[in-house]
Amino acid sequence: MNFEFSDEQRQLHDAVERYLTEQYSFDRYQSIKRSAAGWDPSIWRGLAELGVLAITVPAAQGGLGFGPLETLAMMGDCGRSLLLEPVLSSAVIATAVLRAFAAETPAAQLLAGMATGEKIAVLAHFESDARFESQWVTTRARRTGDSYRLDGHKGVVMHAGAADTLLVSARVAGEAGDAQGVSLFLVPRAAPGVVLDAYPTVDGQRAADVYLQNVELPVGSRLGPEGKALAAVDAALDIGLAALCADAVGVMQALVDATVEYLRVRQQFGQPIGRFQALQHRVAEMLIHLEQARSMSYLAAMRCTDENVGERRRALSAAKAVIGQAGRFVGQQAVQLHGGMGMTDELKVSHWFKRLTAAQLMFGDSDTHLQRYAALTRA
Amino acid sequence: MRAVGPYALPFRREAMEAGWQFDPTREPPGPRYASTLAAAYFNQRKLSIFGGTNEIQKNIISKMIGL
Repeated sequence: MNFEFSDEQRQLHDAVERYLTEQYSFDRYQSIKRSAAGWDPSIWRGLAELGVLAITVPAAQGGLGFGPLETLAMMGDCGRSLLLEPVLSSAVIATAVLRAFAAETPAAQLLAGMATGEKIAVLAHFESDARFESQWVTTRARRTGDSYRLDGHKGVVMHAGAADTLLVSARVAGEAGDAQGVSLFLVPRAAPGVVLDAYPTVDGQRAADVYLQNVELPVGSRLGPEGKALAAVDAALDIGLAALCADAVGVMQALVDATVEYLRVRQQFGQPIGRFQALQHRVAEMLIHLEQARSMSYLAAMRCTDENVGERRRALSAAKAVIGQAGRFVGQQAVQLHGGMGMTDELKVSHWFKRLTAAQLMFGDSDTHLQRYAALTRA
Repeated sequence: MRAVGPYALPFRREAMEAGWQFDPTREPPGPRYASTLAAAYFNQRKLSIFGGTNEIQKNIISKMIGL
């Protein structure tokens, strides 16, 4: 099989890499991380001008209509640059959700605004007791006449504070755990009754727990037919999972590069520490993990839109399990081989390590995905 | 961290302070004990580094056994 990027994919990758190299230095990242908002609108505009925010928006809404492979081509650069802006949350995941409903005007309008960078949307789906189980939706939507009232709590919603619109899943029928009976609603973040408990995450990104208290919405803010939105949520989460894997592989590559460089220059006992076989073998193991992870990220990107849900899920779970284990090894060893310096805030190594650790906890950890892989293999 | 899943992600700086008590009027998201897990994990990286890294200790052990 040919795994070379097409010319178009390579151009996209090169453009994003160049932009982030020039505009997203480590100092810039540090100052954005410490800012009140935790993301930078001028960077967001720059990404919009590059087309990054439009790549998976359909052409009918002013987007480029690209797919997971193009997403993969640029996500690695986002990881390496420690990008804090909500590319994954808005330009990948929320965009994927809205594409499923693009035949309807509200979703189409929002997509058009997201393609230009004017609008930011994020999916608010997982709940505090869900433990990565997508069907565990207890947030309720009650219909009275021409409006819905939403009540519930969404946990660790990435970049909720940056969003204009939250795509909130809520149950119109059935009980937590049922596959049917879940609808999606376009909820303005500033709507009365929407309360955000916002915080930074351990890797310097932003998230919030979102509380919905008697949030009144017009019927038109519901996406698609009533109670049938979960398939679209799951499809979007799978696309997001593949993109997160590509981000993590970009981080691992950066850690291997930085560690190799450090072993070349750091002198101990009168020679570069890279001369010691124990450390040479360690870096070789890091590289092996990285290459396995990279291969799995390609598999995830190729399969994440597969219509055969079982095959899709199996490939994605395999990828997430392998990448989680690889990330743990590469991250820990990069810190170890840098010694005490690897733990400091002044070195990018510690920040990459934290980003990898956070990625392991998102969309299900390696244990969860190993279990799911086993269950799907038995099925 | 694996046990609390996504609730290992929120970073509460105040939870790192010595003698920090939960403010009952401001509950953290997720279980209370989750707030410091990730920070502890990151901090524990030092154990295999300080006072002579694991690699140095293994060098000493291998010398000790005559290699």
